[in-house]
Amino acid sequence: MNLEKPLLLRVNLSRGKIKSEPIDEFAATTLLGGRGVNNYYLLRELKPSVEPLSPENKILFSIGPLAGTLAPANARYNVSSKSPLTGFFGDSNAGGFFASELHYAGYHSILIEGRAEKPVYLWINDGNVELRDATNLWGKTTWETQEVIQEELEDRRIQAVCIGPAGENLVRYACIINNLARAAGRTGMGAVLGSKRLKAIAVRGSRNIDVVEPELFMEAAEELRFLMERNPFIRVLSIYGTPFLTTLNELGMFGTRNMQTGVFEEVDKIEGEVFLEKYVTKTKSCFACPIHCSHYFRVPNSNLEGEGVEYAAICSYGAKCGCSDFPTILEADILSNKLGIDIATAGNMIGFVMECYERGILTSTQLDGLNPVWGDSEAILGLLRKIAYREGVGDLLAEGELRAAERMGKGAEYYIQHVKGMSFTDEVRPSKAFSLAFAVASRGADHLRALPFIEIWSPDISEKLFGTRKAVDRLSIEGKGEGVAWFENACALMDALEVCKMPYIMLLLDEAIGLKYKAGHKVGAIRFLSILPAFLVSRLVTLLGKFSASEFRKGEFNVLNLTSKMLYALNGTKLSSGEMLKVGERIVNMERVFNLREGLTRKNDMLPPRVMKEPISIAPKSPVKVCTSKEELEQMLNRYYKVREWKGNNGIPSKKKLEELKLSFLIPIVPQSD
Amino acid sequence: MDGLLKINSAVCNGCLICELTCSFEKFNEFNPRLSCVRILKNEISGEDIPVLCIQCYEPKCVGVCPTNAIFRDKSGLVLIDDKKCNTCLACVKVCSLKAIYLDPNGHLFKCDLCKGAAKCVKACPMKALSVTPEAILFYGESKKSAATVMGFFRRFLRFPQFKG
Repeated sequence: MNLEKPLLLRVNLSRGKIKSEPIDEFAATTLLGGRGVNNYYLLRELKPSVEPLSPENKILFSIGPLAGTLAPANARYNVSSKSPLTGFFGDSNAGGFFASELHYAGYHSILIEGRAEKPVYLWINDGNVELRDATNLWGKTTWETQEVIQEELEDRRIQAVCIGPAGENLVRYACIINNLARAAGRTGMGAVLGSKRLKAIAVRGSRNIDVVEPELFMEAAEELRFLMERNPFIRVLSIYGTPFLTTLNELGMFGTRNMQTGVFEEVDKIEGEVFLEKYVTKTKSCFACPIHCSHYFRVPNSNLEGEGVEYAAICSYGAKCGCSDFPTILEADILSNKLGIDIATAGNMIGFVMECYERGILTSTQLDGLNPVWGDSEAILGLLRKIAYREGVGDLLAEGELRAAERMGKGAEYYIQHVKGMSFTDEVRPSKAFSLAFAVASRGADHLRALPFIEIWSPDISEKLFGTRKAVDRLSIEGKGEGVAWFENACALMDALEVCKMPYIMLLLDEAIGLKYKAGHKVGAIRFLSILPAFLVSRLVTLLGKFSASEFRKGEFNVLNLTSKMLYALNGTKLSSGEMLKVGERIVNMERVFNLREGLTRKNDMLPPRVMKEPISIAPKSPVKVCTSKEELEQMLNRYYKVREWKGNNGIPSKKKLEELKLSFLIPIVPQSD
Repeated sequence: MDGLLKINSAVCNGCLICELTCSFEKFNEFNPRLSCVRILKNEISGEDIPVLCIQCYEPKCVGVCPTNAIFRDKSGLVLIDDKKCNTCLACVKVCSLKAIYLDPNGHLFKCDLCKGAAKCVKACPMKALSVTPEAILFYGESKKSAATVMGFFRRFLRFPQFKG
């Protein structure tokens, strides 16, 4: 069977030219797709120190090779560009139904360059691609935009990614939305689209997905699905969705009131169980996903309804703003999705404003008459609107925390919680692995670059993989460099394949704590687990983690083997599970080079002062208080750089490493000394 | 055949696994356009409604077919005989669910419940599709009656392959 080469659609908005070309062979074969391909093109085509919101910046959308098939949870897409928020590598991904539709239309990537004279949107109908006028869409919310496009083109199955008013107004943390609540949220990709005056990309496709060996493919895909449906963590995720993560409160990792503490005393009002009981009307799902972690919700006695809600919203608009009123959180969630603004960054920003107000750095007059005391719903929603439309104080806040604090002065810098200019999603102090992962993440403080769940693994496996049993101790700094590097590789691999990290990482976890299922096994015990309150499950899991995992041999994970089998059946790519992780490593190294080229130094791999100086409890009512001190972080960083074979103070990938990863073409652009 | 398909649109989450399973079963391809089951989605209201041939008790498509290509077999399934079909699309026009489709080669296809062992039923993670022993179709347990389902259907369904 002759496979068609994956195609990239190059759209030059300045000249209105559209061209389709095969994706560079190196990128398609060694980086697989998604984040890897985006990375490659940005490194190759972007000039150093380009202004992120200028026409010279480029933005890429890429899907993975599995999109549109029955591989479980396959349908994510990555958006990458130079970030207007951090000035470093900007990258974000989202699920929904866009990626599969793009694959059905026959494209793997879209590269957008230049700037349109007036608002346009891109319409991809199989091979017919055109730029259409979007003057009537400008100013519309993301939900309206999708509705209008579907009506204009007379097809209800058109999938569109679009920006809202926040993106149009170049809010530095504007996001890209598809469907109702699927957001490529972080690093301000919406602002980049806004600067290019591209309102939306609409896609409809009718082609088949080429699969070389369909039977083999289905065999692997069905086994993966079988494993997922029996995994206790994924069962919990299926039922509660990501709001089950409010149980992080039990571990002191629920960032509260601008991260002054990690334990929110009113968590019982905003946890997953409450959401499920009071607001959920039905389950929703992304494309071909057996997990279905999303929900449709309705607030009784109001017209508030929408899809979601994710943990990020509960943490950001809830705990971080000290708000325990669930309808407010839901309203803020809907509003940010409609306006196209990143929930995590916006929530942190509002929390930061609340702390500044409390400490007298900002006054009510400066805030256009708002009184943002902790948990004030009027302030949360009011600030959100102001930011999206850049009204009054919103104009300042739309610049991001780092720039806003600089202009505010009066010591406001101390209260911004960020790495590389991007704000935190969780509290990290009670886990050293998360501390390190957030510090070194290439896009700034974010959990999705690594998801280092090492600390609930079995000590046996951590000894085998990371060389020390102590890696499972969340308060010890040993083995974290190795652990975080390993997880970063795994996550980068999943981003390149564009599968959803949640279930795949949870399957790794499954093996790592030694659970095993065979076809035909009764799943009574797991059913039992899934009806327990989520926090009990998390306790049980911690207990289970203490048992040894005898099933894990040769350092190979069944999940990775199955994924590699799927990939082989799909297009003949032969990769062992070790080589798959190398793909991830390649991507992480490329991102490092990109960031170094933009002037990254060791200082940018540091946690904010509050995280390094103020200890917090590691569990509710626990007398044990910890912080990740500067010394500890430096030690972990040194270890991490060493494991990665990055040299010098700033962590510069060594020539040897780059050659080993077949990335020799990067050597000329790597800065050679500190 | 054990019975007919029961569709519970209230629990359908719109993941389209049934569509892909169907296209893979019928054509060995992954393509929702080659599926006998289609999910109608209204994003804003969050509704997902699976639509597929309900093997009507008195099928209009059988009556209208000029070449008698569509027939009802002993077990109650409504089937298309490819050899007799002249693709006049009269059946598509009368079908109130528009549950008969054209493949790219110009052949009509419709749901035959995989001869009684419907694959989509097995694949559905929400059990929104199930086989019921009673020979009735209902968009059962749905908060919406069949009538509103149809109203919804008319408003939102557009099949590009039948245009022109």
